[in-house]
Amino acid sequence: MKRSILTATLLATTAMATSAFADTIRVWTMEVQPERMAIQEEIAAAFTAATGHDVELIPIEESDIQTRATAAFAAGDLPDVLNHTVQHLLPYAEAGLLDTAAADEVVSDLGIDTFAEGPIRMASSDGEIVSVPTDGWTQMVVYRNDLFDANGLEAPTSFANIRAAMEALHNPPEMYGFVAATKIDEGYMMQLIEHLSLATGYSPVNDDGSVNEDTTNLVQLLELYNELVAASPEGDLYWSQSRELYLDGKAAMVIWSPSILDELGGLRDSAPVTINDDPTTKELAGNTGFATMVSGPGNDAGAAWSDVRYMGITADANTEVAQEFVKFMLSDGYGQWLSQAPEGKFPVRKGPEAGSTEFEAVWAGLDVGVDRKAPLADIYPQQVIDDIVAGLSVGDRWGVDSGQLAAASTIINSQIMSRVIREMTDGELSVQEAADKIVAEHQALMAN
Amino acid sequence: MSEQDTHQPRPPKGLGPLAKREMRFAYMLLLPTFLVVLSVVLFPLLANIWISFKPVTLGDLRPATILINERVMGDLEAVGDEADIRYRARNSSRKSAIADVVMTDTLPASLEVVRVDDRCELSELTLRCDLGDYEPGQREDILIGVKATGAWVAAPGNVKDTKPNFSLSAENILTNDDFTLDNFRKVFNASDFTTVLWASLYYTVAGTVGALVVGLFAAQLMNLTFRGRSFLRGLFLSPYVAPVIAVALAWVLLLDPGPGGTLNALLVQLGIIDGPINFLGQRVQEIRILGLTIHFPVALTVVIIFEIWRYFPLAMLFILARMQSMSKDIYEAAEIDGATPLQQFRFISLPQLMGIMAVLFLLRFIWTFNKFDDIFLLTGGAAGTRTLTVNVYEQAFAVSNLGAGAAVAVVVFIVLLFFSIIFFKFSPEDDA
Repeated sequence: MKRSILTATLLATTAMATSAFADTIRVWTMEVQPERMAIQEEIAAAFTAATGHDVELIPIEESDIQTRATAAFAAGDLPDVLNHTVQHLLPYAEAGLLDTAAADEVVSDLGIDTFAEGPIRMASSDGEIVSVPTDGWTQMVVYRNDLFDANGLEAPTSFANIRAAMEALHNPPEMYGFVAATKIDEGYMMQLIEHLSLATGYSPVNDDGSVNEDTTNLVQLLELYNELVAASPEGDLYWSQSRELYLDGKAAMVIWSPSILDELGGLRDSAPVTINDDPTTKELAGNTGFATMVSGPGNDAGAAWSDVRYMGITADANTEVAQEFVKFMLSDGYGQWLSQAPEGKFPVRKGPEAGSTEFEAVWAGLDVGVDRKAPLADIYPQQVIDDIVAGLSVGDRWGVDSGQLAAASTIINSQIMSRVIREMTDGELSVQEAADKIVAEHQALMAN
Repeated sequence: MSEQDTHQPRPPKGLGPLAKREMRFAYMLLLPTFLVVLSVVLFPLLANIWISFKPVTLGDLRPATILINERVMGDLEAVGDEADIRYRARNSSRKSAIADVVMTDTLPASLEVVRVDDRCELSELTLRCDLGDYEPGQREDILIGVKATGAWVAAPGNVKDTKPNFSLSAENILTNDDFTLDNFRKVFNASDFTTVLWASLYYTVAGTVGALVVGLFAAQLMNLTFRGRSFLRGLFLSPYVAPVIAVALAWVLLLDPGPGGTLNALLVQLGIIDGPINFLGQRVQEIRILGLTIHFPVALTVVIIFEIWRYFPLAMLFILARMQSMSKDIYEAAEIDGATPLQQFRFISLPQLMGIMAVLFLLRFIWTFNKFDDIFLLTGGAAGTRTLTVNVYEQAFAVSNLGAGAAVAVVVFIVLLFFSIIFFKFSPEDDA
């Protein structure tokens, strides 16, 4: 029944669209890997078959979006559809890069109650949904369950437990207690900082948008970060080393996105498990535990960190075609979109209509992996999968609840905290000096 | 005699009228070229200086405008069906207002208009709506009620075929006369400005001198005749011609302090160092020599070595070309006089090379001071390698404060201008 309604509406839109001109829209996508591009090309081809409009997919690395979008905006050459993350939502909406009304219309046409609540809440501003959420994931503490059990350690769900585990397990170079991020120009470092900040209740912006001058919780974060770096190997570390060392069995804990789930199961040759001679071994996956909620001394309840990807319709867009494409991607093409990397793309739209969980069901049956495929359920117990996915609904970001996401995004994009924390871990600043410097630099940043 | 002298015809001083006319004509022919070159060179420079005095952030790159979405709300399938044409207009900016918005559009002739919005008037088929002022982020709908006629049902049109036009006045920060010194204030007041400036100068001077000295030695070597010289010459050029992204990543891999880092593995195996050194990530290393403690900047020095390695071939090429144009006789004469090779180099080669070395120094100094990609690829500006150019990038793109980025760029320009003036005042004359 649902299916037939969907088909009927689709046919109606098809009929309407084919009567108009066939246009080409340009879509910037952050999913740049060749396998994922191939899947997106299929979605685009299906869209062309259904509507007659062509889609030109342009891969843009996540770290390049800011520069490319700035240049394209200045040149009046923005794409029609722009795939972006949470920290660009409000800066782009406020600067006028995004046609927020067009996105709002798409969400209400698709049915706002068919979307998960968290991603919609993040994108709500000034009574509008400024960009259309497509998928999301929750950052996790990935840890060696076997070692934790053997040493009688509790799961790393709090600062205290993380400290205890590093104390007990750090034994370089055979085993590092943690692999922190120290490469300041990688977004990964800010993700780690934000996750642990939320965990101990520190936010750089107050509810009224001013810079938070209370350094109590910030100091707690910085103290922990110093210890994390002390228990890490040398080098400019980012996601690459933390994954490499964990897959090599040389790290007791790392913080990573769920994208590591298939690699842990030995399904990807470019990031193989190297704990023994069998790169397809499931042993490491079996010995791994996951924690999404972390609590710190300043926040007993703890917090999870989630990232949501959005499809924004830009100010330069061929609005109607762009809207149609986003709608198509979130209905007929949605299963395929999620299949690019199901372990890193949790559905934010549950089903084609309110109350339906069709897309969630489709997603749960998708195969993960690159070189070998297997459903997640074959590698991990259902309970683990449910826990990870549930993180998306509680996943938080700075400033979302207080409506200060715009200010928080400016702070994240400036990467001031990464820079100052690196100076601190280099031994140039004490913890309190670093905290004061962060506050001072944030104030200088927000002053203009 | 003297009388004769005064009447004697002299060669004309300066240019005659014909020559002058020819010269003017030649300049006129060249004028377009001058203009093009000037505009290509000067326009970006002036634009940069202009922006540095303006509070430009991401949203100011374009003036606010009205985004419009036009569609038919309802069905127009049978004669007499009524529907609304909805214009959904919004101010694209959430920060600046737009004044005096007037929208004009042409409606399809086959639709009968039954209602018009209060702010609009219809004459013939032309709709003109006086929408007044738009607050930042303001959005609203303009509804025009229409009724389908027989002509429409027979051949349904598309209201979007005619695009609405707007006349409006919006503030454009890029072109208005609103200037500020805030960008410069911010740049000079930044807590790390002096650190960044010193890092820049250290990087530039050491990188330039190093590239010149290594280039001089390489040229000296290549000036000899030996088997495989042309092959070696090509090999020496490879750092300069190889793509920067490839060589930078290769260096990052070689210098990696982790288990995959080649250089560290070698040094540890040879017993030269106890543990891996984080070449690109360590800011300072304390070294004690003769009771003195020196804070040695590790990452910055490695970045400088990279710079020297990458650009010595350029210096080598220039110096080698100059060396090969030197006459051999003078060396033979020196040999007969009993001059040692070192003396020959010091008193014959070096003076002749000073001219080209000076030009190279100027060029390399300017280029190195402006260098961005090498540092950015190697360290991303971490561990004390943040130079002014990395700072420009961070201000303009990470923080989206284009005004401040431009201000730093102006500082870079002034430093270089200052250097060039001093250089031209004191540079040695080329004797060749």
